[in-house]
Amino acid sequence: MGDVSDLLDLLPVYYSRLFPFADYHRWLSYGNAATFSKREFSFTLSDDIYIRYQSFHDQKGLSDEIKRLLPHKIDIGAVYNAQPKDQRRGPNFQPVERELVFDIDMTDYDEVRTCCKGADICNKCWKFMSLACKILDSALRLDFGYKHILWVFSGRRGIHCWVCDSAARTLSGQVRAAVAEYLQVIGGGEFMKKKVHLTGDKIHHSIKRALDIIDPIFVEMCVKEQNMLGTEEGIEKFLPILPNEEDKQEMKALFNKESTSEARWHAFVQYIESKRTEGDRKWYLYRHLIEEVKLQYSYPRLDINVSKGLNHLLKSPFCVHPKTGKICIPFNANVVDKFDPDKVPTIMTLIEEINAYDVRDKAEEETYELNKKRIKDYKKTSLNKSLHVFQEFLRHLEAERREERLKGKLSVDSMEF
Amino acid sequence: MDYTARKRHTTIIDTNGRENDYPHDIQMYNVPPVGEMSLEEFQELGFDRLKALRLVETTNCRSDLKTLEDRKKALCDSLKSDGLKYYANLLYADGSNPQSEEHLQTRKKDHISHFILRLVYCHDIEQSKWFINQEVEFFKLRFSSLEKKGIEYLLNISNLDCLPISQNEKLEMKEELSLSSGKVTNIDIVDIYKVPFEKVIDLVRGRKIYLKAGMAYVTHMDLSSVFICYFRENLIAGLENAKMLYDNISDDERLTRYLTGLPSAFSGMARVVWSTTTTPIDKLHDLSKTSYPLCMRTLHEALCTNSHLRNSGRMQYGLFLKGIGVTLEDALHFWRDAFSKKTDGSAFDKKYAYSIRHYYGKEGRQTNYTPYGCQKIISSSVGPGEYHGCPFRHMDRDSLCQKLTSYGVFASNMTEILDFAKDAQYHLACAKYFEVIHNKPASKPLLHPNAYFAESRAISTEDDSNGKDFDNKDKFSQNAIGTPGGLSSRKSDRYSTPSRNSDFTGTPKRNNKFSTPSRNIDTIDTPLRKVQKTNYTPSKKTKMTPVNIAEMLNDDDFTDFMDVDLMDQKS
Ligand code: SF4
Ligand SMILES: [Zn+2]
Repeated sequence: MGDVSDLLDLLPVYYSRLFPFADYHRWLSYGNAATFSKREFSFTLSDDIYIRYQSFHDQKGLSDEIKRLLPHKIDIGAVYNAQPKDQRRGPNFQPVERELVFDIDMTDYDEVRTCCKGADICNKCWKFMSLACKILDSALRLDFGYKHILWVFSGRRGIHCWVCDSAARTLSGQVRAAVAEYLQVIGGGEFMKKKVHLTGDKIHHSIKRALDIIDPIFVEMCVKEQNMLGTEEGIEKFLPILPNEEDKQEMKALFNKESTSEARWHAFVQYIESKRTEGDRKWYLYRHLIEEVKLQYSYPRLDINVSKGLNHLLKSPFCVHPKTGKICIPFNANVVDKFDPDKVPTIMTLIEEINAYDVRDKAEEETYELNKKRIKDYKKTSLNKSLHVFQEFLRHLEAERREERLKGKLSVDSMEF
Repeated sequence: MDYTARKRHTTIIDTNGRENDYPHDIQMYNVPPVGEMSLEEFQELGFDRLKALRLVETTNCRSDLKTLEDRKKALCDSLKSDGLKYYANLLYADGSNPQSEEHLQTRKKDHISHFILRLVYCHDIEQSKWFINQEVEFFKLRFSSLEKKGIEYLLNISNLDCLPISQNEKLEMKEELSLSSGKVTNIDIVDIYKVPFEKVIDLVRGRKIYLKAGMAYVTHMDLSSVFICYFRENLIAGLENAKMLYDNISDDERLTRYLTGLPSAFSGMARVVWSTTTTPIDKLHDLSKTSYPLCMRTLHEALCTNSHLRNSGRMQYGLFLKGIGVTLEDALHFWRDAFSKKTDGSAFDKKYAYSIRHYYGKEGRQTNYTPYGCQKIISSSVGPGEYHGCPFRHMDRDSLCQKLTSYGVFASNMTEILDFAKDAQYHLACAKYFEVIHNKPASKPLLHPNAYFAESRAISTEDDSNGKDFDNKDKFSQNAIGTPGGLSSRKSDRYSTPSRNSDFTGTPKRNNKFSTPSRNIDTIDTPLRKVQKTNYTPSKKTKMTPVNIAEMLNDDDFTDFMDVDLMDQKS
């Protein structure tokens, strides 16, 4: 992607022909127009102007404004108790509803990935994202009972998770914080080398489940591909995790006997297992150590501040990432392994696709003079698949709403009789 | 709530059915008291409860008390010695529910006084937080006195979504229950209750509970969490209501004077100590070595080496600087300089200046942020790439040892500090560090980084003025203030005599009684009243002017930027 001016040329087409306003509006209304109208949107415009507290009565209001302003970035905020756009927002103006959101960013993995750094990503480190997606998705569903979870590629180097069940949308800040902390296993700053501490004798079922997901790929992904113990540097990072000086020395010596990351990992596992069984006085220190190391190197790293607050803004799905031009597309968590961040459609490719289609279309029209039915623009592009994911998500939400209404109606009926 | 204060004593009208009003030793304070009472009685009840809560706070800060039972015992002793025997009784009430007249009176006082303090503490966010914390702590201690019967009875009369599960249901999830229910060894013999997970967030947060499809499965030992959680939520909502009630009584001047004056009747040690004079930024580097507590020294150092600090670190350090009297202009200079190696001036102005101004209440909600206390710092969560938090809590042994060695702490003192840290006695570790750096112990327990700084400055100025008259003696003299709107240190001494002793047990003597509220209000310094005023006015400027920030396309920093606006929402 060249520079911002390219984006400015392309955005009008993208917003007028491709951005799925109707589905988007369907989503954020949750079956209630008032909900939509009290939702905060914020826009980032081309000249570094950032506008908060925008809100719209309906789909048309939103799409007109977006087409007029051509924002580089759209953020979605909370639903407030009054329309955020209203200039008279009083002292009681406050957020009342908000999807429970999670933000996972590749940069937080810099201490455990060796393939790339910072904003870069490749297929090797993308595996961290796919693990994160699977682990969180199953915890949110099985432990918390949520069903309507939308996963979205963040446009460059991460993923966002939107939990949209009505029970999740009305959680208080405190409860959100608790959920986030429940899912936050990695803790500790720059001065804490061991970042996972499993307390107690047993391992919590949620962690166990995560380990079941991690185990089959851990060696392949972390030990081999990321070469976690293959270099001097990797070993230097690893050793401080061990509980005491003797272990560090012994482990170092053992590592020196081996030459590959994989052999060293096995040496470590063996060493710790012997400590666990040999009736070592300090077996307690080692009881979960292997699991803790695995988690430290692969468990999801969340920016939990994003999840804690109700009024935290998060980049909207279907936004164009201003630097990569990639679309923030929803994807299906069940096939996250197949998701390839390099193949995500960009605004450039999409518009080429439409243009190519239009040219073909025109040629066909001239040749056959057929009066064809107009096809939705996105269907002509590689955005189509993501739209399907999104629409399926919406269908489930709507089906549940219908069911609830039916139940509500039934109970009203039975009261009448 | 219908507080009609009368000059002369009026009897309570409702004398019947009081058992029904107060069926249990523990109250959830769902319903405000009704009736009339004399102003004196009203004042005395409020004053007593405040004293009791202060004692709860000081007892909790004592790191020599390891177990809950120890703390409870110590609290009980100090309550008794302060003439608050009825609070001591409440503390140990087991819920067996005797119906004596004395019991009922005690419960009634508990009820009314709680509601009086709601009126006192509902206005200011910081003050509400303090109140909620102490009430919750007190509740926890009281709950722990309940017998099993008492708990079951409480469960019966409270309207909680908490149901026992059947033996079959238990068998089905036996495996998971025993993995995830914390300390329980034999799941067969414990009763399990099921409750929506939102009701036990303490257990959820710590992953100490089995969760399935949104339901939490609580053992009877953990039922306290259900109640504590409920209690806290109820109290938060109650404080909102209290604001409205306050407006109803606000035309009774005697009452409002009393209510606004009450919080400043004592000052705690865990309060912010605001500097009365400015601290020049060119001194910060030296001060970081001589007078900063370790948490701030670490941040300062990380800032210098990395030319960057993440949001939570900036916030912890930035507010500390505000507290020691760095002006907003200086703060902007200081941060811009510190970031300059990685961020040029204009990028800094666009990306970070907003948040710095925000700390000083100049942007966004214009909240007047106070510097973080140790408790908040110690309990903060620290992630990869971050340097904030309390070093005694958030550094592993090796890192802490290295850090201290590089600061010239000798091996002889090292083990002591490391061991304190290991035993979670962070304040004692910090106190020892203070002693090592200053060659003498602090004159009082320090529970706030800004108090640490003030104490350090006091010692250095003393030394300086004893030697060559180098520094302006007043330059760093500090003025202790409670949370916005407290008394100056001199005045607070009148009320909190023994609190300067390191035994932490100090509270006002009974005879120091806060007799006429008007007197107290007169003694509050005018500038402080202003502080208080500004805090009360909900200053929420509608901000429609677009903010101009560069690089807002960078997700990480954008997140940082937004965080600031949220801080005052989090507890
Ligand atoms: S105890 Fe308080 S002052 Fe001391 S280092 Fe920790 S947070 Fe800072
Ligand atoms: Zn990579």
